[in-house]
Amino acid sequence: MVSSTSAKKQLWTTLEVPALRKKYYAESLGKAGGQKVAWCSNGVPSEILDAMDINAVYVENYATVCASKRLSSGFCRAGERAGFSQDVCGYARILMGYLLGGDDVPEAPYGGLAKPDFLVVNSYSCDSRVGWFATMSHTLNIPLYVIDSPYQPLGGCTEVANAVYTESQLEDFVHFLEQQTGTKLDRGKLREKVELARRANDIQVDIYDMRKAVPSPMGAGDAYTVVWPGMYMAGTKECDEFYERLRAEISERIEKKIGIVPEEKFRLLWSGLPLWYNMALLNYFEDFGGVVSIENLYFRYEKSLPSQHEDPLKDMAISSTLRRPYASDIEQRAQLTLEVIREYHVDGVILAYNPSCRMMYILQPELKNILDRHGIPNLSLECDMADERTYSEGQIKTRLDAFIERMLSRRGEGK
Amino acid sequence: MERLMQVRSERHQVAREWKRQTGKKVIGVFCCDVPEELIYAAGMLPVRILGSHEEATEGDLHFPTNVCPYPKSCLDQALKGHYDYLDGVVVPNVCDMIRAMYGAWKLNAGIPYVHFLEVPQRISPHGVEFFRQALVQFQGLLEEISGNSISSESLRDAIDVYNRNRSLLREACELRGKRLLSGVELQEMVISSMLMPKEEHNQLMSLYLEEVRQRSPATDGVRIFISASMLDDTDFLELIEECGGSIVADDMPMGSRYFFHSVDSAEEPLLALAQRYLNRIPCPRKMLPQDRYHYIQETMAGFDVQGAIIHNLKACDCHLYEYPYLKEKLEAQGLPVLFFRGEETEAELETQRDDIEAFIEMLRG
Repeated sequence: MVSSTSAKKQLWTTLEVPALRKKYYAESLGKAGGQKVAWCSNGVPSEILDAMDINAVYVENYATVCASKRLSSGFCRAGERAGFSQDVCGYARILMGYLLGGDDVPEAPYGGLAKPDFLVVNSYSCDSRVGWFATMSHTLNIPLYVIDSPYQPLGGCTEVANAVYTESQLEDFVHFLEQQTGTKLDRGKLREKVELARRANDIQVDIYDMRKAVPSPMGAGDAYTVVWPGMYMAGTKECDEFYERLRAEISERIEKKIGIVPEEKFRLLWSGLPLWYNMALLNYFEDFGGVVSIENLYFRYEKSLPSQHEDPLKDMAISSTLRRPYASDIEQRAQLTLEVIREYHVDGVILAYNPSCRMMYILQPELKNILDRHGIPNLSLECDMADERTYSEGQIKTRLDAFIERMLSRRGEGK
Repeated sequence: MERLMQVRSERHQVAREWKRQTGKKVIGVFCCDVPEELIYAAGMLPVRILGSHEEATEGDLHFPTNVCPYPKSCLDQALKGHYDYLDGVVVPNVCDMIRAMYGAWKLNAGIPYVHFLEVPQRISPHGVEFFRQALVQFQGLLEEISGNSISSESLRDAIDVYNRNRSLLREACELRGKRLLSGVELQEMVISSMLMPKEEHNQLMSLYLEEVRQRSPATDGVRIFISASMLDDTDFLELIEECGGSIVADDMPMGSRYFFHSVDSAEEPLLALAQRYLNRIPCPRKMLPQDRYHYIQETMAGFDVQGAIIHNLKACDCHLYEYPYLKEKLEAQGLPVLFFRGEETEAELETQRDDIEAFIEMLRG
């Protein structure tokens, strides 16, 4: 049972996000009927959809909205009734529950989603998405487009081959969209969106870099919220300006040495997905002088590459060769995690074992083995990111308390 | 048939013995997506990596509980030293868990070469070209490991040997449908073909099929179609047939998916391999459910199937998403469906027996 849900936000700019999100969903519903609606997975470039005036709805985000409003149990149960195993992604079960409905299904947040005309999924990072979208395509009887992304971190192919293949996928995708909408993509318009998205990405890279500061200027409670515009509004002025304001606020906090807690005693890295139905857990450490100062799932490591081609699709394909730590294998995940621990002055790691998010979950024990070998304190918490029935507050808090005590005693011993 | 059963049950000794006798190298492969012809053409023996029902005490130290038990068990076997004869391992990009085998084997298994083979997740002409390029890299590595260069001619020969094997297995599949051969016998043929030199398997298969053709068809047994994510031994099939089922058609990676489609021997060899291995393996990771369903219809055609059993290992996302669709389609064509979410343990088989017996009884009417 969860006692509270929202994380405490410390930055003024973060407080803008719920309104942005609400407006985004309201506008999306309002547009329905006038525009083609695409239900998309994460990783589908919104810049292209936006440039073609397509109403893009990112359904994984909607699943997190449902979870954060404590509605996951009802939706998941409905999904499971339709034959989906409890093993499959919590986001997928929520959406399937939303789609298939039933008497006990909760009322949909924000009045529901605009009805889709077609579906688009990006294969990067996990198998679950493609299976889920294929199922929705059958249930809704609408077309599905799969953008295939090479699993490049392991070098199965050369970087050039990866970029060429990715470009072919984007070109085919544009062709699919042109068929669906009956209009041609204006590549000049796309170029403008790509440039804006790049600027917003680069500001976010700056922000991540600034979070190395001690005391921590922004904790995970804010950070998991502020990723939202970058993920779902990339390529818009609103998004760009949002990150400008956020960077300015963080800069001011660093200058004035304003931290998350009055006296910062230990800093934690949250590895994995947060528990969307209980984001307040991220603040739990603060009463003890601890702060979750960095999280590695949405981490932006690299600034955008400069434009090299007239055709923005070519540049987008080349950009996709930048590193994607969480689509990577264990060696790369461990290397990046150790890098973050060093550079962000991290004292301990919370390893979220989210069983239904396979691509995060399967590598966590090996990451734990590696952290243990490096003598880095860590705590494994096994509960799903979306399905709150997997969460047991009493057990989790007992374990957190013991971990906090360990952190504090290490500090007492001067580490 | 005894020889084939022996190859499976003593697979490690068989591979070690082959290595000792020939002085050549052995390469372990995961899944149906690695073009074994390239390994064969380099003068090495490709062997399929299999798990065990043994408790994964070592594997559990590297992977959590709620994952597909098959790859975890394979790693467990490697960590217990059973795969110490391998000179290399090929991990294709075929699912989240198999993909994780790359790092797990590289870090922990102590095998000289662990190669990641990129496999597109979408069937398309661009995907074929991308996969062909991945095969060029793979070929280079195999040449390095073996010290042999792979010529077009040697690759064509390999394709011929492998196509011959596919054709023999397809014939066995027909004979199974006519109930001259049991489901378990076919499974023994398929698994052993993944563990021994193909030309030797071809010889044995020719002899066995000659014998099988002389048999009289079985008349009892309820005709069952089985779809499975991964059954790397014959135990579950034995259980079905012990309970009165007669397997006449399948959709399994250790079954028809492995041999149903041949490589186009008239095409440029690497391109032909890329086309066959990307486009023609009916795996739910790459193939959309409706296309898979067409394939399933093809495997069942003419065999008068009475019921369907679906066995998916737990946490196998590709199959678990497809299951509701498959169930709906099979039931719509009048086939009752029995579903299992497998854990791959000995104890589990006994609990499944009652359900299978009841299902077969129901089908008998």
